[in-house]
This record gives sequence, structure tokens and C-alpha cells, in this order.
Amino acid sequence: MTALLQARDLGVSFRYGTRTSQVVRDVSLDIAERSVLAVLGESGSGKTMLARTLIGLEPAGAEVRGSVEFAGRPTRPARPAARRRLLGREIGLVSQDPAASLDAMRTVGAQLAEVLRRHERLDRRARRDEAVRRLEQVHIRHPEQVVRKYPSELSGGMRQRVSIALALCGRPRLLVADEPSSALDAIVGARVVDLLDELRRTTGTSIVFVTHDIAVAARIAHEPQDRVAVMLHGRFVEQGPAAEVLTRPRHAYTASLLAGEPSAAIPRGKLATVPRELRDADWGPLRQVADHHWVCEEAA
Amino acid sequence: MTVTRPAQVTSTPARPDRFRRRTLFARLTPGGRLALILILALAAVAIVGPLVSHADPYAAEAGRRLLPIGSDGHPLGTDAEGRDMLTRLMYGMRTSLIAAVTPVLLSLAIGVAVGLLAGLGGRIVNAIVMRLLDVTFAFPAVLLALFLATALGQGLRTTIIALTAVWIPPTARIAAGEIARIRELDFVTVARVSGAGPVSVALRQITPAILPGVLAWSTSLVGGSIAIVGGLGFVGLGAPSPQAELGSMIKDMQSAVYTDAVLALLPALVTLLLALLFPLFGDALGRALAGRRPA
Amino acid sequence: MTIIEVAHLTQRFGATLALDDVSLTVHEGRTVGIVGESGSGKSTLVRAVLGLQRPDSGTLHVLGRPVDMGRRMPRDLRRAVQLVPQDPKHTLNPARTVRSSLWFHMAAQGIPRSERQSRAADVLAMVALTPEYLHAYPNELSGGLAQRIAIARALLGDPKILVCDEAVSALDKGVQAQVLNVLSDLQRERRLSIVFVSHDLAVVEHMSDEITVLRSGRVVESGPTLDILRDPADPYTAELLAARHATSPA
Repeated sequence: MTALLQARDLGVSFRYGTRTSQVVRDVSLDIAERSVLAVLGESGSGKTMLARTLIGLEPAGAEVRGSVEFAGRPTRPARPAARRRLLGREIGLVSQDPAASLDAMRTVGAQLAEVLRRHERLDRRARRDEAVRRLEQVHIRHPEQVVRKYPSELSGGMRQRVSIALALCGRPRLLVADEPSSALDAIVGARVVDLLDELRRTTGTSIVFVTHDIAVAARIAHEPQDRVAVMLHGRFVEQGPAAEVLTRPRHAYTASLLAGEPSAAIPRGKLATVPRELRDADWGPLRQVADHHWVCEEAA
Repeated sequence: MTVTRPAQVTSTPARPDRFRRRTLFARLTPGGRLALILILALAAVAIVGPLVSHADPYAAEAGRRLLPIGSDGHPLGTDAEGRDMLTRLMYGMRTSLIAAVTPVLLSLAIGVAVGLLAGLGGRIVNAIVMRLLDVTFAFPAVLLALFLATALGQGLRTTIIALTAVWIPPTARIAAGEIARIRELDFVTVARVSGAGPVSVALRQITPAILPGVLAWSTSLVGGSIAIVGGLGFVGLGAPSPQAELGSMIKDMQSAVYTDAVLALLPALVTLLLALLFPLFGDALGRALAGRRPA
Repeated sequence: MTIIEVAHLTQRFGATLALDDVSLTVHEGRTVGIVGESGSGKSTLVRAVLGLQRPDSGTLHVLGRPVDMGRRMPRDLRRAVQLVPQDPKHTLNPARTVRSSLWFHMAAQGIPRSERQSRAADVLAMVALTPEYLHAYPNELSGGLAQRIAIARALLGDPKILVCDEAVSALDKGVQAQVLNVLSDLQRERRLSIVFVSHDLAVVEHMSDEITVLRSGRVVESGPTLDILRDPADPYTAELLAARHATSPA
């Protein structure tokens, strides 16, 4: 199986005067067709920066090392036109805040139609019908009414569904979802995650799913080909099959994150916290411990 | 986790290094630092200059009019009346700075008070105050200043009153906006839960939190103030002649523009410099204080 | 002993019914969890319990004494009920040092000047912080530290009950665990009662003896935590439970 997206020794750093801050360090990953890579990390771990760099959307001033290939081609082509084509048609982006990807001044239908026009040869009428169909695909009820609405007239969950529909307009082969459910209520958020899960089955798109929430990671990455990567200080400290990493973690940091998940089963006052030595350790290169399963070791 | 009870503590321990912070000056951007240094230098010249210099800003010598820069005894030349330009500039800056800064300070105090009234006084008070502010916004600032200056008669005091009236509404608006943003934040609610009264919450929780934003705004405002003071002086509504004031000095030098442009433009250049330095510094001040301001 | 008793609270904002006949009782040393999504009436209930807002109808008793909601409570009751709010970025006044914030609260609660220094050191120790943090400005603190100081601040007047309004929702999991442990330990040592409000059922079930589920201003379910987890009576509760699990029911 060849990888749809492949990164090798990816590093991202920023220079502030004489100081350099490494935000992503030595990340290598392969994402197969129709699979999910859940990137699990606390805030400041570099997970969002990694996701943006993977698709060539790193902020200005970022120094990127290593290589990223999408379907065998580098994803950071020098020409902006090629990058736009790649982004819209082959890679879709869903961010935490749908307000960031939606235009508050235009109706949902107008925004969908505009993106569709870039991707499909359709006349006005057909585009309108297609927009309605795209909203149906993300399970929006009464889509023929919703196309006439402005983003501010929709609930948070609806807005997120619309932004997923927008991201899917070019029928991308890869969807990058950055905390898509974190700003939503539990039930609404779970439904958005389930929608993404369903879409990868029906449309065959792969998903890079960035989250801080273990339960959400487990909810999206549950098929045998799915992977979970745990990120700490810009590094993957553990990467492997979702079921393995989330139930039989091989890295102490992953284990302590899992043990810190609150539930009624854990006596009060006894939640595991991440020991400082784990957080501050200088984690070295990854070592393979099983099929598709790598774990970081402490540098000597 | 075990809770350890410390022995009776009677004083706060010394401040550890991690909470040792750089001075405000060190936190300014290089541009902001330069602007502040220049402002302080010019202000020092304006204040100290007249005290140490024995030159008379009013001593006109008919025979020595419009001497060029670098003349013997008149390092910056003389004006159209034959008065020493350097001395006039020092006195002029002093007049202009007083006329520009005083209204900003007054409007800062009154604007914050009005803002607190609007932001915390309940819905009806808020509606009344905000509508009144809207009405004043219908007048362009310069027109309002001109109108007031004309109505109140010429003089420095008039300029100050007129400018104060011009600056209160926008300052109050800024303050009210900050207060509206802040008054429902958690730290304000917690203060109320502890039982702090409304006045105490307004003065000791809300006012300190709006000050960084309002201070930066007011500092920038001095620039506009300098420009309007100059404008009023230029049209003859500022400090009465022969008192040195930058705006009237610009006007006095008009006739010399074609003979000695640099000399003629000196008062204008000083005005321009002051009008630019304050917004530069205000902007830098806002950035340096950003961490003290509710996000 | 009953610390707080809220009975038949109803509050309307225009056409919306924010609270519809909500009752809640909190006993000494117990934690009552309130779960609800945005718009469920959680915040309105919190404001009512703190006496910050007068409802359309309903009563509040604190330590067995009736409270006139919307008015300032008598000083001893004020000290008995304290709030740990949600947003670590806004829980402390950014313009003031931690010391100045704590002193302000002690003044408001009538703690004499001479006791303030040792009191501040005490409450900081309770959340495992040194008095050095008195020098900090809020923007020099991480979210977890700010939230621990917010807990310390709530403890200044030796309260009987803490109202934790989404107090750990904005924190990373690792930090969240630490703050929850601090709260649990304090509760055990001081027989504190806690009203623990959150949209996150996992956190609420961990912290609470009883759970009340709010939806659209109404209590849809209320009872001992384990009973509710084992056998939710209301379909909405069942859906909340399912949303927390790793796999979708479909």
C-alpha cells in the first residue's frame, strides 16, 4: 500500500532574533488511503503547526526542513497556483472555528456555489442543486432553506457541517481537521466526529485529525488501518495503530495521559498527572517496537 | 498531594527572578523608545530652556529680521520681527505642549468617569450618555474647536477648554467600549461574589483594567491635539500675540517661505515632529501594556 | 447539614425560559454535578446560587438561612459561598498582581489587614503554591496556575461551598487532572461542598456524588452518579453518555 501523504524528518522552527524555537521536530508519518491519523497533543505541542505545514499552510517566517509528499509529489510547490489547486481539489481543511473559514457576509449557498464553480463545470442552476446536495451529504436538514442563510443564522454545529461541506467541494483525497469538535457541545461535537467518520467511508478521503481529546481521537480512529500519533514538544513520542496506542500504550507519556482521563471509576484525588520528568525529558529518535508502532526513547 | 501548612507568615517573600520584569521602557519597541526619548528631550528643552536662557522671546530688533540659521548670536536665526528663533521655539513648544497635553489629561479623567457612568450606571443612564456622545460625534472635531474658540474668545485658556470639549466624547467612547468588554468578565463577577460594592468594583477592578488601553489612546491623542492647537494658532484663535506659540509662529513665518524656506518652515517642522512622536509612542505604549489588559 | 438549597427557580429572559422550576440541594462535604450544554441554563443557575441575580420566582437558602437573591448577601454567607470561574485568562484581573487581587478580596470579605499576609500564604499552600506567586501578574501564569490561584482566592474566607463553573474546561488534560486532584483533596480535608458545573460529563462524573442534568432550563434527570451512569432514565442523558464514549452508537 503506498502512502497518500508521506512526511520524512519534518521540522518547523521560528527565529526570534538570535533565538530559534523548534515547534515541530523530526516528524515522519505515512497516511494510507481511507485512513485516519489522529494527532493527539496538549496545547503548545505543535500539533496544529504540524497539520498546517503538512498542507503547505505554515505561517510566514516558518523555517521548514524535511520532506512532505502528497501522492508522490511534494506538497510545498513553489508556485502558488499549483498549491491552490492541490489545496482545494486534493486536500480540504476544516478548522476549529468555522467562522474562520466561512464568509459572514455571504449566504451559505453563495459560498458553496463559488467553490463548486472552481471545481466543476456546472451552470448556475446545477450549481444551486449541487450546493443543496452537498449540504444533504453532511446531514443538514432542510438544505434548500439553509443555502439561503448567512453563517450567523446557523448554530455552531451547523456552521461546522457547512465548513465540512465546503472543504469537500473539490472531492479531496485528504481532509485535515484541526480540532473540529472542540468548540462544540459534547453531543453536537460527537455528531460532527461521526460525520467525518462516515464521510471517509463514503467518499474514501483520508483524514488527519488534530485533537487534544483522547476520547475524540478514539472515536474517529477506530478502524484497523487508523493510526494515532502522540505529540509532545513538537515530537511524536509514540505513533502506531489506534487500538494499540490508546489501549496498550508503550510510551510513559501516552500512558500518563490515558490515566489522567477522568471518570467515575477513578477515586477522587487520584487522577494521574503527567510527571514533570516525562514532560521535560529530552526525547530522542523513535524506535520501532511492533508493526507500524514506534516509540521515542530518552536521549542518552 | 499533601497540604503543608507554613509557619505564620508575616511578610511577602522577596520577588523571585521569574517575576522580575523589565521596565516599561525596556518593553517598548525600538521606535517607541526613540519616540519617548525625543518627546522627553523636546519637553525638557521647552521647560528648562526658558528658565536658563536669558534671551527674551519678545525682544524684536527691526534691523535683524529673518537672519539665516547659524547667524552670530542667533543659532537658529530670527523671525520676521527680528526675534530670536531658538528662544521663540522653546517658548512656543512650551505653550503648545501645555495647550495640547492639558486637554488630553482633562478629557482622560472626565472621559473615564463618563465611561464608567455609561458602562455601569444601568440601562437608562447608558442609553442617555451614549446618545449624547453620538450627538457630539456629529460635529467634526476641528469645527467644534473653532466654534468654541470663537465663542469663548481668543486665548490659551480658550484653546484648552475647546480641546477638552473635543476630546471628551471619543475618550469616553473608548472607555465605555473597554468597560462593556470587561464588566462581565470572570474577575469582575468574582469580585461581586466576594461582596465588593459597585463603586469599589468600578474603581479598583474595572478602572485599572481599562487604563492600559485608554492611556495608550490618550497618548496618541496628544499628537492630534498638537495639530489642532497649531491650527487654532495659525488662524489667530490661539494664544494672543506676541506670546510664542507654534501655530502663530508658522503663520508669522509665511512671508519668508520664498526667501529662506528652511528658516520659515522651522516652526512647522517642530509641530509636525511633535504631532508624529506622540502617536508613535502611544502605539508602542499600547503594545508594551498589552499583557496588563484583558484579552 | 444542608449548605445550599435552591427551590423552584424560574427565570425568563424575554421569550426564553432560562430556568424552569429548578431545585437543587447540596449537603455538607458533597459534590453535586450539573451537566448541560450551552443554553441549558447552567450559567443562570450559577448566578442564582451565588445570589447575583433575582429570579422570577423561587427561593435560595444558604446554611439554612433565606437569601434575598439579587441583593448583597450578609458577610458571613458571602464568605461561605465562593466561585471558581471558567476562563483562566480572565479569572484574575490582568492589571493587578496576584497579591493585589487577593488583598482586594480579603478586604471585600472583611478579613482584617493584620491577617491578610498569613491568610494568603495559607490558601496558596492549599493549592501547593509558594507565596512567591503573590508577585506575579496574571499574564505571567499558565492556565493551570491561574486556575489554582482562582481556587486559592475562593478559599480566602474559609468557605463552606465552592461553585466551580466550567472551572477546568479550558485546561489541557494533564493540567486538568492536577487541578481536579487539588479540588478533591481540599474537599476531603475541609469538608467542602462543591457545585461542579460542566458540559463535560467525564469530568462531572469523576467529581460528583450526585448529578443533575439540565436541558433547556429544565432538570431532565437527577440522582446519585453511579445510578445515572448505569441506568439513565432520560434519553437525553443516554445521548450525553454515548457522546463521551469512544465509539459511536451507529
